[in-house]
Amino acid sequence: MTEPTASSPPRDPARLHAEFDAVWGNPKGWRALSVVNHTSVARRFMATGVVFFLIAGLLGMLLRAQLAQPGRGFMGAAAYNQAFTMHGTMMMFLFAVPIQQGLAAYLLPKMLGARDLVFPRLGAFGYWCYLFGGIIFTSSLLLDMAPDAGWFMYTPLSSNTYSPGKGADFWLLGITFIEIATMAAAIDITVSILRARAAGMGLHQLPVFAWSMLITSLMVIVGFPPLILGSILLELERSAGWAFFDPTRGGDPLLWQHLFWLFGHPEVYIIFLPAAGVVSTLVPVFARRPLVGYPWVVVSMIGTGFISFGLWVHHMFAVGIPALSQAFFAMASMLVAIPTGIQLFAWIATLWAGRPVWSVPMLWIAGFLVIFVAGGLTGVMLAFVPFNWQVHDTHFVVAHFHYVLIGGMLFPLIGGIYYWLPHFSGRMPSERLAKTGFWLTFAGFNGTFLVMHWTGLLGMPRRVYTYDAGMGWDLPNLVSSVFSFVMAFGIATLLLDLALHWRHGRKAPLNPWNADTLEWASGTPPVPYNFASLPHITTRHPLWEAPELPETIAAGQHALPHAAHGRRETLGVDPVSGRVREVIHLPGNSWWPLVAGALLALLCLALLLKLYLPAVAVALAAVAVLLRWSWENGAHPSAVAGEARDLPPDLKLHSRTFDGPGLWGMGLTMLADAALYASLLFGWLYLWTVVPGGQAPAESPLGTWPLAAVTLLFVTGLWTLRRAVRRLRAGSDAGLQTHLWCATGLGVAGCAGLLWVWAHAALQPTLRAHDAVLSFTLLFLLLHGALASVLAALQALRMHLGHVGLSAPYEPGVVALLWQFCTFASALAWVLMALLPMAFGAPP
Amino acid sequence: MTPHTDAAGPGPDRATGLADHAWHLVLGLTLWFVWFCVTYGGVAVACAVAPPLSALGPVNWLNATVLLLAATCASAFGCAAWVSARAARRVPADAAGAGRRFIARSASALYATAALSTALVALPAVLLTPCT
Repeated sequence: MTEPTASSPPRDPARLHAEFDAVWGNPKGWRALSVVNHTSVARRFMATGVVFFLIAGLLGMLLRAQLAQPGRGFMGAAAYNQAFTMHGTMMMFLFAVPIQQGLAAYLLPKMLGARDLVFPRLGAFGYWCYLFGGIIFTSSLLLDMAPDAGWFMYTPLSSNTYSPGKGADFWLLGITFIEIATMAAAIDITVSILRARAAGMGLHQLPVFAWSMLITSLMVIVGFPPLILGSILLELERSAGWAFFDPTRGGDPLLWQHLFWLFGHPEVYIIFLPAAGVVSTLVPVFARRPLVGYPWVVVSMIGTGFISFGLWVHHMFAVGIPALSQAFFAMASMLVAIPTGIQLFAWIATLWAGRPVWSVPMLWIAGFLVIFVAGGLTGVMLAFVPFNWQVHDTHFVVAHFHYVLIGGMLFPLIGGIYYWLPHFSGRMPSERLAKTGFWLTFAGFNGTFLVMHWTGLLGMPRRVYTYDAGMGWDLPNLVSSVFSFVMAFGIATLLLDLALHWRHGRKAPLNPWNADTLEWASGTPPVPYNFASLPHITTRHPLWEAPELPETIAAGQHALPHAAHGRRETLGVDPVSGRVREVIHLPGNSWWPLVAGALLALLCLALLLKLYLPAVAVALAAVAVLLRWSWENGAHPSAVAGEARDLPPDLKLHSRTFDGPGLWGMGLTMLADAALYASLLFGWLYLWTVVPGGQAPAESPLGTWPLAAVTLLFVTGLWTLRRAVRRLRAGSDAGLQTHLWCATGLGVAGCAGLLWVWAHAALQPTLRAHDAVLSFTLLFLLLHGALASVLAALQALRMHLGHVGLSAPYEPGVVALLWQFCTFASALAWVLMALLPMAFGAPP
Repeated sequence: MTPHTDAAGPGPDRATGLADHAWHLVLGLTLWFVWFCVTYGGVAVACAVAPPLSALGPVNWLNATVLLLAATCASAFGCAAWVSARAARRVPADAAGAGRRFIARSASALYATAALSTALVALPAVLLTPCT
């Protein structure tokens, strides 16, 4: 085919900027809260992440102050427990993941040659959830209600019996709320990388940072749902008395550990891989040559992502699992070091083969290499079961994971911040302050945590608020504490440098490091629309091979060089080849994300205060707002008036096709949903197998056929919807509305069937874990069936009003994906919860 | 208009079939994870339902099943790696085929990773008693 995005004649850059700024520019004052542009939202993400980092860091300092000497009374046990729980939780959930997603959200569209992420409003919504959730969670410290059961919240310590206050509820509800932001950002980033790139940029030409974020985001989509499920189940146990983890009622505390670490181990790599992407971006620039072994680095990152899901039990070596099963996880834990090692060798080879220039970002990368290698090696040591038993829950483990997380994430992140600082602000940092900050942090970090390995080997357990003198722990603890303050001074110097550079830093040139990637063509600081025209890219090193790109882009000499039509547009491409498929029409500023986020915050507060009736009302209001928000998308008349005149030949707006970003977003949402549902089914089978006497009764309380009937209703609804989509594809909208109403009716009937099953099953979720799992499954199916029915009804209404039809056939296919999930979920529930017990259940 | 050849357009190529499809980048290790969960879960269920006699040591029906399944899966992953490597060689060595060649080569390496991971993870079944 021919390329529909050919070059355009040059235009006056100033006039072009004015034209784009009218469409993409950010409003000022209180209306700035409605901004959805990725640059602004990502900056907010990063700034908020830094604030949470400082709070969590201060908590860490308090911990070290307490442990500096034996028998200190600076903190009591209760305050210490709260401090280490909040320190770990905030660092993991409120800093490490969000700040890297923020960095990715800021950089990726610019690196990929796009004008924004594909779901800007979802990104803004995610930010508000993150901010409000973070504030609610952190406020527990001020209210003296902070969780104190450790960042992994093991039951029964986190159950009502041993954590009767609201601390655990703050953790479960607050973190689940914040995870909405993480999931939203992961879906947004994945679809953006796959579908919104420069024309011609194939998968094999993606910047390595984009690869790292693609893999990380898919890991988040599959890895976070087990924890979300576990948190919901534990909160249900705490607030409604349902039995999931209580062994006296057929539950099992180890089920929580499995669900937590199914998330928790991939989380380590979710934190590391983006940082590895930063390293793979910076090393070639400062080595002044392409990355050695690009395909190997990509393969290694994919391999790391997958293998990291096979390690979760290595956190549970001390719980009594048979030796052979432990050995499976021990082997996998050693294996995962191999792909990481390959990346390490690629970086060293790049430096070896290049002509390295040593500057501040490279100092942090060098620090990363030293610290992360040490952390990786102690990780391999911990993969050995006998050694793991020996140092389990000691300070050795604390030292190990700080080496991995601070070395593997914080050092590359700070290197990246220094590298992209001229891009953020248009100014350069002070080299003297930056180097001082690095050396203080590097020395302080190693002084704190290297010594902590010995403290652990001497037997000091983690999570004890004090210790007796004369156990050999006095000196190493004092050294660790003193150096932790050195590290704090290093971070303070760094922050001072960042603060001063905004005013006193010298102006940065356009591409100060002579980098190869496209973000440096979007201006320092960047314009809100990134690129006035979208270039055709067929290389991994666009600015090395075409240094004139910044000028030709600004002069509008590439694709889509107009904004007079008033739409925010970027190119939609084939995920593999980069061939242009359509023009993605991006939504503009909106209050809906803020309103929806605020309502969910209210819901979180109502649940915390156990105000369940108001919580139901707020939840309904939030659903109404989200549906109202969805109503404006796609082919809404206010969005797409007069598009035909402005589009390049052969291209349509995505809402006029069958394959826009929303379809991919829904597909990934269903993938996350499937991961959550698979975790639930794992829980069902786990309790059945592991709990003594936990075998399900042969005669399921759900009956044999009612769930089959519900499944049949959902299958028929799905078939009706699919038939409508097929007809649209064939160019006919005859009977489309009838099909959509039919699907709605079938969905409502399916939901009524589920309610009937629930009413007749006489389940007792507060007495038996099996009944609790069955009840939750029915609730899960009911919520999905109800949502599928409502969305089908809205499609019928949109069809009636002309927003969906032959000219805008996109949306029914998106809704059909949800129906597909409902059908599979219902069928699986029938097979596993009604049929399987007939074959293998306990006889009456 | 600038003519633009679609480097990896829709539809399978006659020389490589579907062997250079992007799904191969995730298929091998996804199946590896399925194998991993089936093996771990299967051993747990077998130990709960019909544990082999511990006096038999590692020579018992459960370890034999684990090793047999692992050998089958590792062989299948090895074959897939070979097919992908062969597909990579058949893609024309020009700029237009670069994307497909990259996918096929990467898929080959990832299938080989799955094969190696399967073999190594199952290896302890040669030495260890399963249910103690």
